[in-house]
Amino acid sequence: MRRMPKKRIVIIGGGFGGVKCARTLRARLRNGDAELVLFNKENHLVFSPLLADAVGSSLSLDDVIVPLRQLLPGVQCRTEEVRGIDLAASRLEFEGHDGLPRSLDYDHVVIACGNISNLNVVPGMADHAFPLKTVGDAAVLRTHILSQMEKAAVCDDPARRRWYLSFNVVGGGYSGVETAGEINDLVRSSLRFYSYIREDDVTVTLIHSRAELLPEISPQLREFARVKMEKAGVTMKLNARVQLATGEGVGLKDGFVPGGTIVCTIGSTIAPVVERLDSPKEKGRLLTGPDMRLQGRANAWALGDCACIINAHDGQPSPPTGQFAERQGRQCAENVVRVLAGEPTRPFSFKVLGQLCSIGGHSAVAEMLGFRLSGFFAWFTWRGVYLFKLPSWSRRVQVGFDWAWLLIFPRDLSCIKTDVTERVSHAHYVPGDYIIKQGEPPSRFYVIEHGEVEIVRTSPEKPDGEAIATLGPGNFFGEQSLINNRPRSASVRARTPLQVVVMGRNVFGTIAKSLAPLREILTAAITRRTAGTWQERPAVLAALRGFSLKEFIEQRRSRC
Amino acid sequence: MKTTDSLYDTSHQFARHPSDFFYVSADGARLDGLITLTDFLRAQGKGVPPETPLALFMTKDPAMLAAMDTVLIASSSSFREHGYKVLPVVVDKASRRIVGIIRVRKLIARILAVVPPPTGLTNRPQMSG
Repeated sequence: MRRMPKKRIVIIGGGFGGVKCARTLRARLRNGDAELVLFNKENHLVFSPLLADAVGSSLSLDDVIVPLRQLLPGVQCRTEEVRGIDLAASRLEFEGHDGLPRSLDYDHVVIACGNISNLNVVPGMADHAFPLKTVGDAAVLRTHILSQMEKAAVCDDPARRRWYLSFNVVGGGYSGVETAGEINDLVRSSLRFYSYIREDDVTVTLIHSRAELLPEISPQLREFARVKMEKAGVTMKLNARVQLATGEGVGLKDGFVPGGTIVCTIGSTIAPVVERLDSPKEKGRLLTGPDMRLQGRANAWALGDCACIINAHDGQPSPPTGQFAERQGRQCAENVVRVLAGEPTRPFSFKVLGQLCSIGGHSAVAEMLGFRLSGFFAWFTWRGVYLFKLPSWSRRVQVGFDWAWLLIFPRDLSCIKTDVTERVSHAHYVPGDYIIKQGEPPSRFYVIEHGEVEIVRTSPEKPDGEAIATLGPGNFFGEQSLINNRPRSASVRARTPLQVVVMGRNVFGTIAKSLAPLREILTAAITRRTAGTWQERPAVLAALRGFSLKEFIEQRRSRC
Repeated sequence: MKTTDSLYDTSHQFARHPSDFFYVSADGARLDGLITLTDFLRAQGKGVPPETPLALFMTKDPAMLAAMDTVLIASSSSFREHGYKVLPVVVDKASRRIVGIIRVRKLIARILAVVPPPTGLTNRPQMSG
């Protein structure tokens, strides 16, 4: 039999859908027939349904990720960021390891890059709330919760202590309910180790804009979940739309909920690479044909959260869930194989198997194969199902052991700091280099010695980023996230050759606390920068570029 | 003014001239500092003796622009970040030979003429509740 020439199939995204697609393709196609390349910014698959467990110390962070290279033997795994896809030329562009643009031709491309977190849906949320989308988010949030407990344990002021121990979770979907339940379990089950903290000092509030939690499940199970969580100590704020977030708490239409921790589980947007793609979309999601091919394209496919795929089983668009993404990944791979073999493709069709949600306190709600379950049995089922959904046996054993361990022993309360050994140093950058990237955890403070930087903020309206300010010699940046202990709210990029003084978090913290003038300068800068950024928006920058300095100089007189 | 002029001399200059700052230069050409009305009042408030030389309470090594700079972005950042109302302009930053000044008011007036501020800043605030 004559062998077909080797095809290159590129998969963009290493979530449930992308990984399933790559695994199925590898199983169906021989190495000599197809070269499989998978692009994912992280080198691991995040098992996102377990992120809440990692936050609540029910699982270690390692348990919720699986290295892609070990998971996908025979697939080239690359961590460069895909910048764009030229569908007409069958070529994708990505940023190389050195920051330079590179390209790769393909025979088929599968777009499975999912959604990204977008906290800009509510004013102040990007600056003050914790997202929960990546394992890094889970690590930062867990460390923050445990450090809040440590602070509360030594705080003499009762009001401040209650504020430290107030946790606001925004969003009453699966992620919000599981996160609120896990935080509540972690904090309340650990109180016996904090003798100074009383049970009623702790408040975990779940804020949801609708009248009922978990709209995907039946009314009886919703009610069960609400009652059970309230009994465990979670305060419900239903029909409450969050208007703003500050460092002190969240503002609702009819009141303010104070709290030292805000977790935002709402707000997502499509990935920039999808945004830039010249292909029909429905509410930002790529429109596909029944077989998951992009409309009008023979060799471009889309699946998962970034795609709008009609489910032939019920004629409805597929919901953005992991369960659907996985099924789509498998079927998309089979359709690609059919196209390579010259056979007709099949439409995507899938009947939902069930819904599962943990609500804390060893309790869960589940609807599976027409059965409704709640309580401990549902929780046990939830754990069992997810255990067997984990994509490798080594992970299953590891996670199963962790769960069994925690049924007997208390949760791990160690608060691991990831700070490296610090010093004050100098750093140099060339124009275009990023000194800080939006969303990354804060670690350093910078003072500009020579050169200029621009502050760039990415939003759904401006996926490529918008320059909101320019800073020059004597100015500083990086202070806001360090002081608020929040992920970076904007990127900082060198405009010119740049030299900066770099200060580690602890050095900065020590100086800022002990040197009152610096503290005042930082406070004034934060206030000014959050209130007055309009002054240096691009329109103003463009106007300034058009002006000549000479027009404004008032010539020197002997006495002014 | 010269760096050796006293607080007493400074008070006379501010009384005689309707200006809110003076250049300070030891040789009459190179910019060594600025003495602003704020610097002067602060020194007075602290009880600085009238014979104290200006060099001790002026703004030393002030932020400045070089006349050859064509981009005004750095100046706008300085106005905003440091709250300066004026910035001296020198021929170049090595010689510091004084050319003149630019004022934030003049710059803002020109910017507002071509760039309207965001609507949130011009609309009347909505009363809640």
